[in-house]
Amino acid sequence: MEFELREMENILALLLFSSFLGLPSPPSDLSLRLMPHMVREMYVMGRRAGELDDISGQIAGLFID
Amino acid sequence: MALKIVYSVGKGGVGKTTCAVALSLQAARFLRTLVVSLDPAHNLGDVLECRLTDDAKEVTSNLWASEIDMGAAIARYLAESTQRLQSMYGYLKTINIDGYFDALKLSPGIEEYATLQAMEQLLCSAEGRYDMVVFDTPPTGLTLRVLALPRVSLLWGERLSRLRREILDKRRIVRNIQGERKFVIDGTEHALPSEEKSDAVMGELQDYIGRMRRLSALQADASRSRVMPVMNPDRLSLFETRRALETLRQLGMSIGPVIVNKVGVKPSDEETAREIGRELGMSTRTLPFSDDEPVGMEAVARFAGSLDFREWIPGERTE
Repeated sequence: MEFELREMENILALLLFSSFLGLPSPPSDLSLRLMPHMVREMYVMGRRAGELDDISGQIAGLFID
Repeated sequence: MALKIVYSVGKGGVGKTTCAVALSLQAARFLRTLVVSLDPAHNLGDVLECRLTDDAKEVTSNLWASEIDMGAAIARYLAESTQRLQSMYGYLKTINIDGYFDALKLSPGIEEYATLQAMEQLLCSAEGRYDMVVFDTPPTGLTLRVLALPRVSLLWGERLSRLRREILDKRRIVRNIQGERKFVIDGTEHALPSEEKSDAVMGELQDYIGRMRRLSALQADASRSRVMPVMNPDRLSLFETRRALETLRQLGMSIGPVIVNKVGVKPSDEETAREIGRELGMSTRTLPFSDDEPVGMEAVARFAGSLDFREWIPGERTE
């Protein structure tokens, strides 16, 4: 439980402050326009996130069933 | 004749709608003019004393007016985005696109992009039908963010396009060694593009860069676009105008003299207006406070008569 709590706290911090770690967010309009052409990348990202048992996997889990 | 654009910009309640109408009335003597409100809380129709919609209505000879339903514009923008994402549903059953999309609807920036898209579409449809479009803009903060979007987006588009080009270069190297690469999703085979001309991502990026470059260039073209700053003779109005002018200058926009409206409520207003000009380092033009609200075509025409608004028309006199 303590591990889960720590990971959840890390996820929240990463979601909020990832831009400070060098992960800037492009304009959402541009992401929306490119998304339909990036099915493969989304597919691979989802599959890899599903295989991971770490923060990346849990963050992706917010939008992956 | 290339379409001219004027942005009436100012704090809420300073009279930017009245000034936008006054300028439009004078311009309509020699230019086919469209005055359009992008403010989510419209009062262009109130000033003109008529009901306005998205469709331009001729309110007097050579002058048309419309109020863009920003709520509907945002809904349209989201609907178009959803439509584009429909193609992904079949392939990405595992990804909660609906959840992602629900979150995106309320993301910061969506209102600004929807406003920019509404402006862009309006300018496209106005080309050839009108000689000038006068925008009665939303409150200053939103207006500045919308006007800054083309430059920020252009930067992103160019960086991402560079990265995509590097990816395609490396894909070609791999293809030359290993042959054509394909990927399979749910049993369906797809070719992996390695040439720019067949890459949909690069195509979308180039299209996006082109759009943003055109919008940025249009904003910075003094012969076609100009800002008409409107304020009142008070300190709060001055602080906001100063910040707005700094941003507009950074965007390379041509700025006309500052209109100080409602002068004469206090005996010191004339002096305050002069101080404002000195503090902003810009010419100012004053408009007197009137007990009669300039509502209705005749009243606004009288109001417009007290100032020569032609100096805010792009390509006319500049400071």
